[in-house]
Amino acid sequence: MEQGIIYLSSLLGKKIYDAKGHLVGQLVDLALLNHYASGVTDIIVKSDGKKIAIPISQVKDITAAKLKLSGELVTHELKGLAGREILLVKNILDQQVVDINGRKVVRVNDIVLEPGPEKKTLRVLGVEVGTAGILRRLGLGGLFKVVPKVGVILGKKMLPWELIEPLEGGELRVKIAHQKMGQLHPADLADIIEKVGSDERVSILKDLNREKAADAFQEIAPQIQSAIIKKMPKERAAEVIGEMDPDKAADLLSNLSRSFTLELLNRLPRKKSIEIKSLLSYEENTAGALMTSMFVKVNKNLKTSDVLTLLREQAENAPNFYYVYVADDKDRLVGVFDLRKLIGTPFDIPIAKIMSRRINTIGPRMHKKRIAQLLTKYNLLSLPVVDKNRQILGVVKIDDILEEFFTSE
Amino acid sequence: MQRLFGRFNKPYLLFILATLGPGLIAGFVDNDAPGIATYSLAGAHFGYSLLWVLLVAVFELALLQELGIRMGIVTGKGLASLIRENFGLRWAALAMVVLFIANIGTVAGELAGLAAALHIFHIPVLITVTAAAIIIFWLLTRFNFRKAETLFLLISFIYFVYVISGIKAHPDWLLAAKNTFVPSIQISKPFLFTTIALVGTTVTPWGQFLIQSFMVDKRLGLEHLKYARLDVFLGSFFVGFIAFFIMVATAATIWAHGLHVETVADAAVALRPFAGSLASNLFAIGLLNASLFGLAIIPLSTAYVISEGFGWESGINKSFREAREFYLLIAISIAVGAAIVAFPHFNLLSILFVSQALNGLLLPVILIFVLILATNEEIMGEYRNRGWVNVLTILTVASLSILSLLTAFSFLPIFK
Repeated sequence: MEQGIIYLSSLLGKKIYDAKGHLVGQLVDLALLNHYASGVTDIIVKSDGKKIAIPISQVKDITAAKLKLSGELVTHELKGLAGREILLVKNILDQQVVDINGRKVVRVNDIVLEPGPEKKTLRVLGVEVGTAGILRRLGLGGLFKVVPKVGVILGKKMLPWELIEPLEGGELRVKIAHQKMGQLHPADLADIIEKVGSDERVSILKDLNREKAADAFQEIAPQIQSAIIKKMPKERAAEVIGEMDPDKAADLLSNLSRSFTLELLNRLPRKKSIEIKSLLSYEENTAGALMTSMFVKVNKNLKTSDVLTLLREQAENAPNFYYVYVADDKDRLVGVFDLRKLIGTPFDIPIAKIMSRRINTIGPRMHKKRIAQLLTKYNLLSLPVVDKNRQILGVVKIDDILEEFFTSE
Repeated sequence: MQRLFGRFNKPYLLFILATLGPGLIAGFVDNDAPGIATYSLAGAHFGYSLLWVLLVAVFELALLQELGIRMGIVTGKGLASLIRENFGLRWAALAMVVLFIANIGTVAGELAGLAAALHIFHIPVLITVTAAAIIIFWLLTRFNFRKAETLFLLISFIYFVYVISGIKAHPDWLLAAKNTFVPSIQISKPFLFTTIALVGTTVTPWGQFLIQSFMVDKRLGLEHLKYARLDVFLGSFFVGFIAFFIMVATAATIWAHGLHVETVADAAVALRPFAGSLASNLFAIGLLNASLFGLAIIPLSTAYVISEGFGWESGINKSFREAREFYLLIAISIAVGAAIVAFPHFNLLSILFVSQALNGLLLPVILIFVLILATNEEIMGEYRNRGWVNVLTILTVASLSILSLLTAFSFLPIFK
């Protein structure tokens, strides 16, 4: 279905022909000489009742309906698990994926493979654990064509191969190696957390450090977020929420019960809790609910060099930003300039001279559709939200708007 | 004998008392509402002549339950896992579908028992079934209903009134003894059907999965195997003991007097020698408890087993979103079961009885998997089935398969 990937189930049973066109046998398994790598090294063929291993490099086109071999037939023996060798059907398919504590999570219903550019190599991308894989293997894959949404409803879940670690010994199990997770990008981590079982989610987050956990956590789909947070110990939940961007934290809390929200807020530092509370008071899909309180604001009496110094000192805690907002002594928004302007201006120039006084602002009740229109019309990366006194309440960023539109589909 | 019992030290006695033993629980759930109805019908229609079938069925139960605990302890895996991992997805799907169908039948049987019990107290069937379906689903998914199993188990001891009733009814003991040990066969549809129901209510597909999962959950080591064996043998004995007296009591009171069982309530006559005019009420309470016990255990354990086979998340501590398939399995089995009972043209007695025949019909499918797994050296090592135990197991599976096929053929028009 997806471009460029094939399922193990679709390869099994394919007929293999040698260079002269004689039938060799049927494909029954795939072998990886080293399970730490992801490249398939051999195809296992059942030939006259015996299983033989043929190097995958001899296969002309692995995606073809009939697999043709090139050159002299070279076969070799397999060493089994002790030799770090792994057979996808024998050792992985249908096995249970257990978490680090040995509790059962899910089962391997299929294995996802990616052919190389020449179609002569195969790489294991991951194991499919969703119900969609069950249907495909039962020969009901046709359902996907008839009912296009079936895959979405049943859940096509894949665990990346890098996170699968076969255990040695009599019974082979597969576990998710948490140690490897800390190295992933938060967004990738979030994808994995969404796919694994619910107990596993909490335990993965528990093993990550606080900052990483929060980064990954805020990338997770909101419904899953609230399910996870309910399962976490309260202190840990408060810690994670404390590390999240206030607008994302507010989104999450708005999905939870009132009493639970209050309980979590009470555990947060005062400043953070007030910030989130004010965001929570706005209606859904409006600027107030979407805005973040992480923005950069400076006084108009400063000079460019002061601003640069300030930014350098606080770079550690600053959010991603492009615009610097300028306020007067009464904290009213009076101007804005962007980073390019700041860098391109000599030192010691009062910022009042470089800032633009024509600012597009929005009110906290503006709907997200209107905000999206404004952002595109004026080619802006963010819009400041101001109250009646022109004090900045927060900033709506284009990425938060984009996310809204994509996740609602 | 002295030495054998000398080995059972105190901690084990405590262990048995604390858990009441998985084998004992599985045994008593076996005497669920369809079980009581089937034993009653067998005694009422055929007198003592099917007692030998009961003896064989109980023997087979002990044999297969022992196999179940052995497989659970040795592999540390449930039967569904073993089937999936060794036969692949297609065979596992077949086993799961068979189990699910048998499970729906049994749930319908339990609900019919519940409806029949409450009908004795003048509560209309339709109301009972609708309310029960909703309340049971709610209870099962909200609370750890299985914690109540000890309570059900204790109430189950009222089945011992059948023993007293059976003795007070002055049965023909000589005939009963002869029929227990000397087989007699009739070639007729009712006979075949009653035989398969009798076997199907004693040795059940869900029971085979349940006992093995029980062992896996308890994480018992190999050193506990002999205690676990005693436990299942004890459980099987009690199933047979109670069933024997139900059949004897119904034979002596109903069959011997040329009476007929037309509705479930008629079977209460068997308790008259003990309870007199209170027989109906006592019977209703027993039936009610048996239904609830079955409903507490069967739909949930089947949902766990099927989820295990397909790799779905399971557990009532999960939300619906997390364990969708698991909750759907419970909901479907209860809803379909309730719909069958609520269907106006089916009578409760037939549902109770036919559900057990269905169990019996489907049983061999599961047992063939069990047999193949049990003899596999790679899986079971030195604990694999072999020698005379294996011969007996093969005989059991073969005879049940033949019985099942015969019954299935009896539905064909050529069989008269």
